Amino acid sequence: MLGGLVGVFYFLKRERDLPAFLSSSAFVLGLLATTLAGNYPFWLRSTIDRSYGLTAAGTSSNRYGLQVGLVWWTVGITLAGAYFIFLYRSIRGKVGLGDDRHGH
Amino acid sequence: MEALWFAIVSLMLAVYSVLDGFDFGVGVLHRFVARNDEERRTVLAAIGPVWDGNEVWLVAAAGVLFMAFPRAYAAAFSGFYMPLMIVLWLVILRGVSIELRSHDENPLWREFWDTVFSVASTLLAVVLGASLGNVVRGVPLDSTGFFSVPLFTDFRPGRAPGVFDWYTLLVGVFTLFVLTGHGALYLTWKTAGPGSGLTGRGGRSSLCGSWRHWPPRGSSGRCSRTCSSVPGPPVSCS
Repeated sequence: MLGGLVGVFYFLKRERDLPAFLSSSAFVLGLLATTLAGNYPFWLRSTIDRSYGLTAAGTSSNRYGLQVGLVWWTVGITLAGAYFIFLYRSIRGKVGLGDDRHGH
Repeated sequence: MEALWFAIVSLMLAVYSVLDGFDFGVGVLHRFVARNDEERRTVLAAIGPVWDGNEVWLVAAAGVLFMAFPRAYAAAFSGFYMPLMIVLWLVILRGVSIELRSHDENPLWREFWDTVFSVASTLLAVVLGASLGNVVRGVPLDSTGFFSVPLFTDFRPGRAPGVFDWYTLLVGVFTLFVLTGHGALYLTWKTAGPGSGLTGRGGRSSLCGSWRHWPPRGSSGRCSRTCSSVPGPPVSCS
């Protein structure tokens, strides 16, 4: 996360736009991931009584459901990942003035 | 297994923040970095092919949360009913404004939808950030495992807080700045030509917190001063 933040300013100074954007992405990703990891095992904490908090273990589906879900999730995330790679490759390059390919 | 699914849902939410985050940032900056209709269309074209796909990550994360942690999903989606409705309407307004602005060439029509797009993006960043603040701060869950929070109470975090208090609003404003910087960097990378100078300049100004240069353009005299004060490619000011 901190590496991403430092990278943003480092690459901005050198006018390398893509690495600067990727560093910013790493910063945002790290920011949220570390926040949620720090919250583990709670999904939601209770302000009334700590024992009322909703934990991952206390709110999860049964083990069989999670195992079957993992198989479906693996298939789904592979397809989603492939689609996003295809999408971002298909629009690579810069958008210039008058470039109105998308009807906006 | 629960820990693995906790990590999966968290990762999907984080990926959503990265991908839709730059859409929000572009929306926030949209009215400030582009000075005419052609430049605004360029800004929209930069996110045009991806913004709706990026939003699907939120739907996917919610679906996975429902599958893996149904009790947490039920408690969160009923307890956060009001902020979720606000998010839903803002998401709808963003999509509608992108699609409708080019249906008529009337400047007033386009100005209106551009404003809606910008305001909805700004509020979305703040509300989603405040929601994250609620997760960190905690909510008034009782022994039934459910809760209900009003939008605000006395703006103090305590045993019975509202969705918005000074802490969650600060998290929301922080999120707004982070995502604005993120969107500015996306525009800097993605746009070319005379427009990229403006967006790049606006992006660098935004991220570095150089508000004193805001707005990033203006009369010719003011523009030449701001151009030279911000690193980046030379920009022709008119």
